[in-house]
Amino acid sequence: MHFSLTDQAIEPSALRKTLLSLSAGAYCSYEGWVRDHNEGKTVTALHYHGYAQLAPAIANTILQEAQQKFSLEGAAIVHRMGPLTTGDIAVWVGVTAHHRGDTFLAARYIIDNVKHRLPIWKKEIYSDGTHAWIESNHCGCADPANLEHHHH
Amino acid sequence: MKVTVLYFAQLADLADKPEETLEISDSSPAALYQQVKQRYHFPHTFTQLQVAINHELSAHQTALKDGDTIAFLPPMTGG
Repeated sequence: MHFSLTDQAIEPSALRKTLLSLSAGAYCSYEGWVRDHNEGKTVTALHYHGYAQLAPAIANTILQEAQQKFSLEGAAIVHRMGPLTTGDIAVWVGVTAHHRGDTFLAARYIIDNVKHRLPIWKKEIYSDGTHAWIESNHCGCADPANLEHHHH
Repeated sequence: MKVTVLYFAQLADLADKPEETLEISDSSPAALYQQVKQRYHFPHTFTQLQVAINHELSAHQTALKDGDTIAFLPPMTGG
């Protein structure tokens, strides 16, 4: 289980290597990218502000929940801080497990909880020079009930 | 008693500082929030925010002690 905040570019290929395991049969990762628009406005940059003394404890709780729900071998979250530009990777999640089903569900569970529970805030800077702190994640999150794990 | 208040995101912009130490007489986080909300024109109601005391999430009604660090956390928008 690993969590970090970073002001450096996220390198998925390097992070993937930290999860390699001969007992894992599946790996699934998620990358959140900085897109160039939101709710009708042209976004030129983002700025992430985080609560560095609180975020690790909450991230570890999310990772432990995911590990228990989905029988994970490994799991990691890396989130960028500070200024980002369009096309940058804002957040990376990687998970491993014996079987693929668990990894898809766990990656989704972790990123959805990261968005709502990690003490990180996003400011959008627009092409017209204005900016705004985003107040809610309209992220198309699934009904949490659909993220439950069912063994058949 | 003295407490340190941490500001994040929009609250840090409006207060124009990341933190400050305040002398307070009422130990309730709600009373402290009303004081800084009024001073800096924060848009949130107290119940829209989460509370962290000494870098741990805490119940809204937790009584503050001298030397505590408190943060009022707007809805989170990472990812």
